[in-house]
Amino acid sequence: MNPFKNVYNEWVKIAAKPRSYLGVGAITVLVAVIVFALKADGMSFISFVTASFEQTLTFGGNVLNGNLVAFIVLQMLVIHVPLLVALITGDLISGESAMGTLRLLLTQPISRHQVLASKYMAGAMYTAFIVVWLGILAIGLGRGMFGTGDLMVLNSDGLVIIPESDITWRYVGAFTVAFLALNTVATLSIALSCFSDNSVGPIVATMSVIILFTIIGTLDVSIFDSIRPFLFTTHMASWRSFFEDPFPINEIRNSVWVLMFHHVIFWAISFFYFNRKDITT
Amino acid sequence: MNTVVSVSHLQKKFGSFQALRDVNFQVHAGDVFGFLGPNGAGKSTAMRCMLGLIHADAGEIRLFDQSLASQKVDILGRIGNIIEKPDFYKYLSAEANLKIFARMANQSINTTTIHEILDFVGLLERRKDKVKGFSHGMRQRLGIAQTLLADPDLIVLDEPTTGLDPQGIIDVRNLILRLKEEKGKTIILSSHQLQEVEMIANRMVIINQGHTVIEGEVASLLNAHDCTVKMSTDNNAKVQHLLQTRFDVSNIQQENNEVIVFPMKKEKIPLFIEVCVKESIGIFEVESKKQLENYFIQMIQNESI
Repeated sequence: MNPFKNVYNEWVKIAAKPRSYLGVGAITVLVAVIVFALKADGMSFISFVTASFEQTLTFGGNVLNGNLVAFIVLQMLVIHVPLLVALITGDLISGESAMGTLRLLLTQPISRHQVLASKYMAGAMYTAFIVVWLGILAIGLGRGMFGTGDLMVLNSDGLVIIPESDITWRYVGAFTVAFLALNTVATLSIALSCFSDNSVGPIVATMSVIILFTIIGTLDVSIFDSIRPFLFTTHMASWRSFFEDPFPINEIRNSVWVLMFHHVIFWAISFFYFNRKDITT
Repeated sequence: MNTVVSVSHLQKKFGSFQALRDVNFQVHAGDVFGFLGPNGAGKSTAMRCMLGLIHADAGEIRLFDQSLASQKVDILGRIGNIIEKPDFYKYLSAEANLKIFARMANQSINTTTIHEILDFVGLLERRKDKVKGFSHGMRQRLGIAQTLLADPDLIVLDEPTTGLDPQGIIDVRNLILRLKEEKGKTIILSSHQLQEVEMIANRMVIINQGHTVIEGEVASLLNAHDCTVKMSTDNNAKVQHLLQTRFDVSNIQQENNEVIVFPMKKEKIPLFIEVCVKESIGIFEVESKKQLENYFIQMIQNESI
C-alpha cells in the first residue's frame, strides 16, 4: 500500500474536523489583535523597553518595524500554540478510539506501525501548517503594516541589534526550531493518545506535562538542576537564540538534540505500546 | 473441503478474568457460519482475536491457510468486517468514508465501484450526506458496504442487527442472504437473533464461558435432538395418556385447551400419529419444529449443570 495514501487519509480527517480550524482562527485573531494594538500604541510599548538605554544610546530610524512586530508576536504566541497543536494531535488516536473507528481502521490491510506513522506524519504536517501560518501572518502582516528595518531585540545579555539584511535566515531558523519544539508537543500528545480511549484525556495530560516541566524548569531549586537541561520545555523557546549575537550555535544544536531525543522517546513508547494494545472499545 | 478459518485452543485473559479458555472452530468456504453464545461467552473477544484487534495469549488462528500471527496484513486484505456496530467518521459523507477505507485496500478501488456498492446496500442516493445524519439501520448498511469494498473472501459480522427496528433487521438479513446467494461470500455471523441464524446459517458454533460447547452443521445438530411437537386433537387427555404410557414422554405442556406441546425424536413422530389414528383420536393439526432457540438453551443449560 502507498503510505502517502494513508497520510492523505489522515489529512482528509483533520481537514473535515471543525476543531482543526480553531487553531488557525485563534492565531489569526490573536495576531490581528497584537498588530492592531502595536499600530495604535506601539511607540509607548517601545519607549518602555528602550527607556533604560536612552541616556547612553540614541535610537534612530524605524524602530517599530515589521521585523520587531513579528518578533513580539512570536514571543507572545509561541507559548500558547502548544495547546492549539495538542487540541488536534491529542485526538488523533484516542478520538478514533472514542468514535469507534479505530477497530475498523486496524482491521484494514495495513500494519499498526503504518497507522501510527501516518498519524505522526499528519500531526507534524498540521504543526508545520500552524507554524507557517503564524509566520506568514506575523512577518507578512508586520512588514505590510510597519515596513522593514533593523531588528532590535532585548535579551538577558542586553540589547542586540540585527541588521535588516541579516534577518530573513534567522527567522527561517527560528521557525524551524519553533516547529521542532511544537512537534515535540505533538509527538507527546499522540503518544499519550495511544493510552487513552477518550479525546480530552491526552490533551489535558499533554498540557499538564508542559505545565509540570515548565514549573520544574523555572523553579530555582538545586535538586532540579541536573534534569532541567534535559526537559523539552527548557528548549521550547530556543528559537529566540537565533536573534542573539554572537550566534549561539552550540546552544541551538544542544536544543535540537534534546528535542529530537524526546521525539525518539515518544515515538518508541507509542510504537511499542500501540502495537501490543488490545482494542476492546 | 476448503477451510477458510481454523481456530484452535484460543485463550485470552484480561487481568484475572479468563475471557477465552479453549475456543475451537472451523469455517469452510461458502459457509454462513453462526457464532452463538450468551452474553459474556467470549464471542466478541474471539472475533476480535480473529481480526487481530486483540492479541490471544495462546492458541492458533489460521485464515486462508496462513497464520494470523505472521501474515496479518495479507489476511486482513481478504476480510471485511463489522465488529459490534459500524462506526464511521460522522463528519464525513458516506462516500468520503468509503473512499478512506478504499485507499487502505490492497487493490485500487475506483469511485464507480464505490457507487455500485452503495447501490447494492441501497444508499446511493444518500452518498453525499454526512453519516451523522444517518439512522442506525443506514449505518449498518453502510457498514456492510464497507465490508464489500475490497471484494473480500470472508465477511465477519458481529451482531449486525443489534439495535435495529424490525424493518432494519429484515433489510440487513436480506442483505446477508444476498451476499451469500449473489456474491457467494463466506460469512461468519454472530447474533443474538437465533431465529435469524437458524434461517441463514448452514454451520454454527456455540461457545459458553470462553470455550466451544458444540460445532457442526445446523441441520444435523438440530436433528440429533428432540423436536418440539405442537398438536391439536379432539381428545388431548387421551393423547397425553398415550405419550406417557407408550412413548415415555413426561414433559407435556398444555398451551391452551386445544393444543398440547411435547418433545419427541423426529423419527418417532409418524409412529405416534399412527397410534393416535388407531386409537380414533381426531387430529386437527400437528406441527413439529426444530428450534435453534430450544437447542441453544438446552446446550447452555447442560453446560451449567
